[in-house]
Amino acid sequence: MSGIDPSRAVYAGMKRAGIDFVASVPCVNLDCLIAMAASDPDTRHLPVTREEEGVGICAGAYLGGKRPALLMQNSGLGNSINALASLNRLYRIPLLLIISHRGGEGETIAGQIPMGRLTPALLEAMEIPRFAPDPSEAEEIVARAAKIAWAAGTPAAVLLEIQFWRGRSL
Amino acid sequence: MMKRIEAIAIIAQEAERQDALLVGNIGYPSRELYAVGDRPSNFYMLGSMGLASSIGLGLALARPDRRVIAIDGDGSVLMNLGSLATIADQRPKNYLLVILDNGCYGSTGCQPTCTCRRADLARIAEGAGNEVRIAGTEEELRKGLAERGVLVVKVEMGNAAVPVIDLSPEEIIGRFTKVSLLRASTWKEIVFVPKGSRSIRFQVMTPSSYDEKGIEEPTSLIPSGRWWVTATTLGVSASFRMVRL
Repeated sequence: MSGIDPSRAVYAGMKRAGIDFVASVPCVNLDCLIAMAASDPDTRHLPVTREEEGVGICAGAYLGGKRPALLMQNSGLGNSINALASLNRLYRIPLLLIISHRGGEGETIAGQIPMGRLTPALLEAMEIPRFAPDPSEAEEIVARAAKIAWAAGTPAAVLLEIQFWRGRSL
Repeated sequence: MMKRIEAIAIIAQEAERQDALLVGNIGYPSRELYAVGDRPSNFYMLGSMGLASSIGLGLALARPDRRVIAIDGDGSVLMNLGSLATIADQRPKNYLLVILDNGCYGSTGCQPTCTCRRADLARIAEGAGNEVRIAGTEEELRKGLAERGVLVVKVEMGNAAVPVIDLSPEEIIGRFTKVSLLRASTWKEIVFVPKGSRSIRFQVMTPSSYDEKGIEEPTSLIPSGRWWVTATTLGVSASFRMVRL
């Protein structure tokens, strides 16, 4: 155990990146992070019904001058692919994707495994930069991912594995 | 029943009058909007079918000081029905979602949608928790465009013969964000009216165009002093530049 609270580390990175608008679809592993966003007076948080909807809302928020992030499970990446391409990529709209990556080591739900295995390749195919930090480097890497997203006008994804939430080095 | 392009022309006029940011749905609705009421403050969606209402919501939440209108269609709304619940949940005062319901997927050859038989988008939107109005006539449409929430407009099937939008995505977003990113503070001004000055004349600068429309008649007496000036009336934001007469 590294002693660093994984959710706090990620949220610190989001704050460092200037994220001030957060849309979320829950995952059990994102529970604390969502609560942090919801209780942050400097951040507009809203729960959304589907990840693709969140991509649209975040794009709108960007057009209005916000720095948005979307919190979701990797299953939601599948729900968002067209929007990430024909909205974000087309207009060069940046977005920070904070993704609970299920289906790997420690997964107990069979249904999570297929999409979990496909997630890195899907991001690769979509030319979305991706990062998979340890808790100890999460703050730094989340901030860097956002920096890349805003510099390049692209979504950037931070994949947080099951082991990440247990505070272990990967 | 109105043709869709007639409804869009009215929405464009009202959006201009309200100085609203306007999101146009993918396909023919955006093309018709471009043909009848192009403004830099129109965001034309070229992809991401279903997300007009979501883009509009995000924009409205990011800019509570600006009026935002999104033009959506029945086929697109049916693709993202959850959006109606999220909009109701957030209830932004500055946001109106207009659904132009022609009962078909107009841009792909008018294949019927479920609204041409039993599905009722006004009741779905209401059930999701929205304030909903229905417009069938030009007058009802103009009235509804002054409100917030969801406005459902039944329109005729069919597309107008309008060309594709000859702007690149970069151009669309570039000119849109020049307007949408303007902060109120950008056009707040400190004004000093000298002592003894009994009346002022003011000029209105709309943030989207920077057109100065001078108002010739002195409108009110302003006491001397320093003033931070902004105004929002009926969703119209403007800065006032005071000129001593």
